[in-house]
Amino acid sequence: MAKNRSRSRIPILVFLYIAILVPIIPIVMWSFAFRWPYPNLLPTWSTRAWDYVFSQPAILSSVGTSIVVSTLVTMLTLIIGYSAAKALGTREFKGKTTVEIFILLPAIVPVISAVMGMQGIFIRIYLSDSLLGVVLAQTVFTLPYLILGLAAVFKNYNMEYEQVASTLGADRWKILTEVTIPAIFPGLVVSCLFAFVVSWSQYLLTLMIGGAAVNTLPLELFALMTSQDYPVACAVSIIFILPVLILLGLTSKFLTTNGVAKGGINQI
Amino acid sequence: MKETKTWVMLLPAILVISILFIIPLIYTVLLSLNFFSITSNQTISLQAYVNILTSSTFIDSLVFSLEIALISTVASILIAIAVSMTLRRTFIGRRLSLFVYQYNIPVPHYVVAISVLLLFTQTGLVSRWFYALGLISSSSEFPMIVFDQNGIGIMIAFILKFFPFIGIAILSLLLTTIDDYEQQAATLGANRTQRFIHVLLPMMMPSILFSSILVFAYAFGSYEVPFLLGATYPKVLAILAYQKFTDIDLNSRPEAMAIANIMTIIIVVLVIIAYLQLNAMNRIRVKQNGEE
Repeated sequence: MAKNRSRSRIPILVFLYIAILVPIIPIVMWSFAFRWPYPNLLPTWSTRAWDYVFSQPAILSSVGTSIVVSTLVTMLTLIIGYSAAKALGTREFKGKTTVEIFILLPAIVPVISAVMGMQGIFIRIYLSDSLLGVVLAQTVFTLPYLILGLAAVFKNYNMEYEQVASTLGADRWKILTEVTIPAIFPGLVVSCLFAFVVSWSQYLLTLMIGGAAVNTLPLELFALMTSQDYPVACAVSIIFILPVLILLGLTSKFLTTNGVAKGGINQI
Repeated sequence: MKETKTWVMLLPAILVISILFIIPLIYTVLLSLNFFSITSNQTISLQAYVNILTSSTFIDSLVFSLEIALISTVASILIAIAVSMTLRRTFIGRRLSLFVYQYNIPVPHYVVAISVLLLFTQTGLVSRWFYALGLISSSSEFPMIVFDQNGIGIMIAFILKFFPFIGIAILSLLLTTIDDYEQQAATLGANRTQRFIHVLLPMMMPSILFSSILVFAYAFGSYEVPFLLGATYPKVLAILAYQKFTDIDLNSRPEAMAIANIMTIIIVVLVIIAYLQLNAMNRIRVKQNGEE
């Protein structure tokens, strides 16, 4: 029987590898394609797309803009969301479910539903077509992920350490930097990474709030897809997902031991 | 050290969400009611809703969006359960499998959509493989998977993205808490099916439900994926709303807002129901744990 069971696992594992890895193939191949007429299995190879990407100031500067925007968004999200995450993770109080649903709203209400009204208001208060406007708008949509993720981390955190430190005469800042942050560090990193990724991949929001003024990488990518320049679009896609994958690789230790996988979203 | 009050700790987040998110939603409602009309001086009007709800384009889009969201979510849950159940007992190549399972979680949905586009159009990579194998003799014989009226391409992209997201949540449970309970049930003589239905599934439910809410809401409201993979008709609601919003005819703006509000209401109602269900489940679980 044990043998049977292990055999029935193989098709599912094969499915997993195909479902995840096969989608990478056309992206990589197209990024090195010059022309690729049907029904050829292989393109005529060329590095045109890559040469173009690295010589095109618009694309290079959009990488910079994306990094600046997503870093600012992550920092702002952490500053705004940290104390709420701690309250939700370590305390029981009346109306907690209502607060949780309220904080979850930006993550579940479609971006399109909120962004039209947002644009109208941002135009009135001169925040549209500006980097600041885009950062503020994105922060709203990253907050739920950071708060609920970090709240789950705080559930496994022992508040007594802080009380002990306090009795020993540590002030709030010392407790935060020398007790709390070291204790939750892996979970904190993963939650921030989550916020960063959500910000990094925003398209519609940036398009409608930033207008032509804030050109992030997703905007470049959609422009290339619309003009059907697949080789360059695929090269940009690779540039786009590489940093996130590198970050994932660096934090995969956290993912499996302390972060999203173990104590993360599912415990909320 | 005096303890900070709970509401003070919650305040920054609640304030920011209220100002930058709730107020725009209210503003959208007002715009949909023609509150700030520049073309007429009539006050509140439900005309936009009447126009929308009586148009077959809107109804088709509504059904299409719900269909896509429902099918993608259910299929993703089933695949996630199957893969997670398999991976928890896989020991050879497990680290690699776990990494592969997590790989596309940070990859944006529309990058997966680009992959689906390049794989499954009639001149896509899969069509070329079929041609090379002699299964088809021209690209037009390859079925319409992308840009099709049934939204199959859109659903494939969603499922590829969603099943690892739901699956990782399930797997982490399977690898930690649930295992002990299952061992106990096995000792008491429960067979595999019984253990799955009476032990594993109930314990996985809250986490499946929570990740399904996020996934369903995303599939229902996504603009980017249908933009890349959708047919010209029917359109998903997000695309329909965006097109009405950017229409040269300013009179269609209230209709765009009306669609947006209907989407918001549908999602919020679903989430509240799911959340109440989730809380009920957690309460039962706490109760059961208390009795032990």
